[in-house]
Amino acid sequence: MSSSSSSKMIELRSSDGETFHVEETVVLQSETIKQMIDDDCANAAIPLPNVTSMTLAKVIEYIKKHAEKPKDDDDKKVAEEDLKKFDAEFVKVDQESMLFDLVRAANYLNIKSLLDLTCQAVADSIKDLSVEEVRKKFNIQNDFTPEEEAKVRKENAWAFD
Amino acid sequence: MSDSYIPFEIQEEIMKKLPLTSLIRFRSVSKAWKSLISFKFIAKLDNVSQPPHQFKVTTIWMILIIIIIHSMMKLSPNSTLLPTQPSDRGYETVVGFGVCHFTLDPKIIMIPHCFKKDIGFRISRVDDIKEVIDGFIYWLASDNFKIGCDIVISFDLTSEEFREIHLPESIKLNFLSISKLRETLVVLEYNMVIFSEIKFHAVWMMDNDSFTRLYTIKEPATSLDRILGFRKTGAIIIVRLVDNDDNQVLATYEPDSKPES
Repeated sequence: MSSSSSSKMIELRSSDGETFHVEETVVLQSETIKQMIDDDCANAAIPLPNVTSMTLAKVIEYIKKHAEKPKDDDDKKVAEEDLKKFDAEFVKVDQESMLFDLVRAANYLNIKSLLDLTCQAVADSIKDLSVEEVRKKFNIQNDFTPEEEAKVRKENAWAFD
Repeated sequence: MSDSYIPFEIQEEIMKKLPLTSLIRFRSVSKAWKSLISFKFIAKLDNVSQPPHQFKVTTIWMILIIIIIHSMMKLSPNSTLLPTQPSDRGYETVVGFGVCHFTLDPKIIMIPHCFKKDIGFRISRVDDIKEVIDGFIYWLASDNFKIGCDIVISFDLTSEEFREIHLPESIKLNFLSISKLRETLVVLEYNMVIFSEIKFHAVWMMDNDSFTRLYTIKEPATSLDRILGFRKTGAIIIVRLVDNDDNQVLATYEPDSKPES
């Protein structure tokens, strides 16, 4: 990236029509948008039909924070700590649907670190749930016959001692 | 499509972040989840034919279970962990964990076993002391009913084959432990000759399925308690007893890099 491009602004449009202006260097964290820019498709506003304005605002907050560059090594340590705190707070959302929206947005926009962060948050929230609760959470149909399910549970038995 | 819809590819990403016990429990969520978190029973009690280089599974009474969680976790090939161990079933279960070098599939190997003499086990005992080195898990084991161990069992995390490596005759009756030194398996021999003035301990290094003595450690009787491991330089990290009240200190022992002839 040349320094002149750091000031270049990219326009993003959410599914509900709201537009956001973000610096190109920041928005390049999204592999999906990077690809669009590389393909020269970013002259007008980039439409993101899968991402609502509320989710997009959160995503932009995240990539902006992660684009901050520490000046020297001392700064680097402080910045890393700061970023960790930010990440921990970032996934503390009131609504679970918001967390799911962020997971989907991170996946669609292909922002690896955000996908890792949000998937970890979901994993933490489901790890102690029962099998039934997990199915409900992800709308998963139980496609086992009762016999099959009993068999799998029996195989798993040693994990629950 | 409801608000909570998460495509399967993302569910997979989430699964990668789950702890092992949750993963195993969630095998019964659906067929798709089960197929990603698979168990493999490689040998069961009996009626299993004996492929070359593999254990004589017909004569031992072990159930070996390999759990492969397909490409689920990113771990270094030598990491180890112990999952939940069933402990209250009247037998001890030995568990090993390692990662296949090529696929990075983590594998858990469970060896439930017991000590009943009258069934005539081939391997009567597998120690819980293990090392994971370079794609292999090693355990100390015994194929008789004496206290000491006389073989090392290796498990190849890639080919999923077990092998036995016999220990030298001279060290069989001593107390043994295993460790690793520069990515090679070493056997630690604690010589407990009661009437001897000097206790000596030896480090044997594995080389092409045989063991050669790397060095002996001569220490005044009672001062060396146990060997903890090795530094990269080859120096041995030991626990020494400093007085008669069982107070211990950590120390290193420099073997002068002098191999025994």
